[in-house]
Amino acid sequence: MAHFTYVGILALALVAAGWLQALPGVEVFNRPRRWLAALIPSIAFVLWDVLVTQSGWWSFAPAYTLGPRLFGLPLEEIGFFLVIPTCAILSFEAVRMTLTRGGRR
Amino acid sequence: MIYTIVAVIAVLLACVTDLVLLRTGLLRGKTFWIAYAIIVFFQLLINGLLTGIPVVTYDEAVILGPRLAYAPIEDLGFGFALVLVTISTWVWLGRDERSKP
Repeated sequence: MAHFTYVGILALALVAAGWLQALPGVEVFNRPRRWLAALIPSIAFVLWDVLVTQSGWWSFAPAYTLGPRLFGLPLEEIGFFLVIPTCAILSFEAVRMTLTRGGRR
Repeated sequence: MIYTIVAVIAVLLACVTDLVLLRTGLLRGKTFWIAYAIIVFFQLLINGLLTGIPVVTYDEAVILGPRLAYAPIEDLGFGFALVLVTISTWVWLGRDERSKP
């Protein structure tokens, strides 16, 4: 079960933010092209992560990850750069819609 | 403190992206900052778990030393950069949006 720790933490993040999509005016998952295009800058972070992981800046616990790696990164770490930016977009849109609905910008 | 330096550069590049490259101006408005306050709370939680368990371990030589909720303070800079660049790109992509996906 411990091997699912990193995946579990990512799931926690998705649960914490995913429901925001249901708020009126929050349109992220139903704008898949815009959503996925907004994730393109994350590629730079992933590339950087590959390099510095190789250099030893940080390392990932085998005990808490599932095992499969891509260019030295646990798949979960790549997942991190999909999940976290998505949560950020959802949060931003939720705040934006809340402020707009309140009549203020 | 190489990570420290890189984190600062990342923050600066993100600010340039928002204010100059994409001209989304998020840093000048309150929507981003309110969202960021919420995001940073969850960052401390999520990253606290990752660095506290620890799922990820840092080479002490690359960081300054100070930590917040188990995570090196440099992660705050990197996180800010990731969030700002992502939201800026999202907003920029939505500029011409009428009803296209």
